[in-house]
Amino acid sequence: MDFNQTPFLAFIDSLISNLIIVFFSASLFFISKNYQPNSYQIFHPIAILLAGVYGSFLLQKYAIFFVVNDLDYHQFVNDTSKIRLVYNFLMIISASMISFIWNYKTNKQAETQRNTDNEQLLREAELLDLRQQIQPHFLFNSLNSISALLVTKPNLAQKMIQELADFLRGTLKKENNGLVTLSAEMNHLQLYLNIEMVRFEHRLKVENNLDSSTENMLLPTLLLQPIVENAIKFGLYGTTEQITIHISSKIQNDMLFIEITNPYDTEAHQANKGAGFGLNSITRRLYLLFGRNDLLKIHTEENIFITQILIPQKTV
Amino acid sequence: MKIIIIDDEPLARSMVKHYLSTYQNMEIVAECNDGFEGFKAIKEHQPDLIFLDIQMPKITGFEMLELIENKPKVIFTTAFDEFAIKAFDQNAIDYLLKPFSQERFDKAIQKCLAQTDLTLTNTTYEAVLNTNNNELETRVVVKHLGNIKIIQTADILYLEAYDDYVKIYTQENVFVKKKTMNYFENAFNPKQFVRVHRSYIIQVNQITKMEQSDKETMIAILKNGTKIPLSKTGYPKLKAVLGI
Repeated sequence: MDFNQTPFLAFIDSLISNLIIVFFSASLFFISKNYQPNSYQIFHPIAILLAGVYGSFLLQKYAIFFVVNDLDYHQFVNDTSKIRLVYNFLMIISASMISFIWNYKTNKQAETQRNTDNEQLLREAELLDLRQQIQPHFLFNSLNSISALLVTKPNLAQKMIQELADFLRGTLKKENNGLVTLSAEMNHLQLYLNIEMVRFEHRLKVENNLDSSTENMLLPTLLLQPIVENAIKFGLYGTTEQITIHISSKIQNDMLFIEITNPYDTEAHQANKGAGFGLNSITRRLYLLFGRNDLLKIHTEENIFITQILIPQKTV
Repeated sequence: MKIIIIDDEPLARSMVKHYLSTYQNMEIVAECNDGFEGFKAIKEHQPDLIFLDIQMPKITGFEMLELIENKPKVIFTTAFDEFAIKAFDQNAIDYLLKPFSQERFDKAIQKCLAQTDLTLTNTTYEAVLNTNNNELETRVVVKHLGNIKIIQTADILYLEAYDDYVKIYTQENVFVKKKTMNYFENAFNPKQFVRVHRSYIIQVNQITKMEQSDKETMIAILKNGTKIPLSKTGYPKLKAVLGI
């Protein structure tokens, strides 16, 4: 063996060996990127790793044999097989560790992003869903009232159709997830109340007591109508007498405070049961919008059912 | 033909009145705002036919109908009640969905007149009322000393079979209702009410303890001290609900 040549041969050797290791590590990186083994498939990645270690070793050996035409060096390569195997093993293991961690991290990030997107979508869908839909009962009963009015009081029927149309238009508006001023919301509510007062005639009375300073304060659109609908339903269905619903507003701690009261009959209803669904969806809606669960409160005082809502005013 | 209209909306009643005005021999003997008035008016006038809304103050049309012994013919008038539509398809004289036309109304009246068999049996209604819409009841409406009384299921201690009736025990009183034990077993929340014996259904959270009364039988003791026997099939059912 010509020892003058050895450094050169060693350089060739290490170049070939390391290039092959880089090639195998890169392959493993791409494999682990697209292939996430299940826990019960633990054998697969180990087999792939060992195949990689041994395959790279063989490839290195024959590549050196092919490039270096020196039998002594061939012998030297054969003699150092164990060291080469161990070296390949360590290199490939650490490379695959790094790829695994890297890929795991990027996958996790992508997943987190997907989850955030999903949650956002769900939240929007839920908000849309929670906005009170028109009660079919209300719609059909109103149409029935109109039908009856056409016989006796066509003028009133026309007015009621008008109001029903305006009410429906307001309810069907697309941009319904925004905020509106209290006075706009009250206008919409008034349409609803006018229709209900025709339906129930003298039995239903509504008294508004709004603080003028709250008129331009903002609240989620179509928030009040379901509450008032609830109040009417439980007020009217609980008793056969005339009922009065009070709606009042004021400023409390810089927030908009609205209170709706209706009489209700303790005998006919379990307060918490009947009031349930409509108000639950409002609590949920307020939570999704403001991140607070304490904005809607209900309680009863003797035969009066009281619903109180606080609406935080976002500072511009 | 004597007719009563029961609906809580005056305009809805006036609609029926208007459609009826084209008929001779149809006399509206009463108009009622709710089931309580309806119950009294039916007892007083014994009408041949009633127009009945379902969602009304205090008690529903169904609940009112349950209380009446000699049931008149019934045409339901309601805005929206999908499960009831199903239930009444076969059994009521007719079921008018508001708003309805004169033609549709006439058809209902024709059906009523065609039904000469005035002994439209209570069992027909019973079958319908017992279908129960798969909804769990949270209250029971009973007659008590000539009045109507609404009992919340939460206030019921236990039920006891009593011939064709069921006795309903509450803290204050005992009421009877013409229903079967099977009806109550299915109508009440099965996690709250358990049929512990052929003749007894008890509200689970009224139980304070259970003990062996003799070799054969177990009994449950309620908060008010009442002892209720538990049958061989009833005891395991109760244990399952209590999670023991």
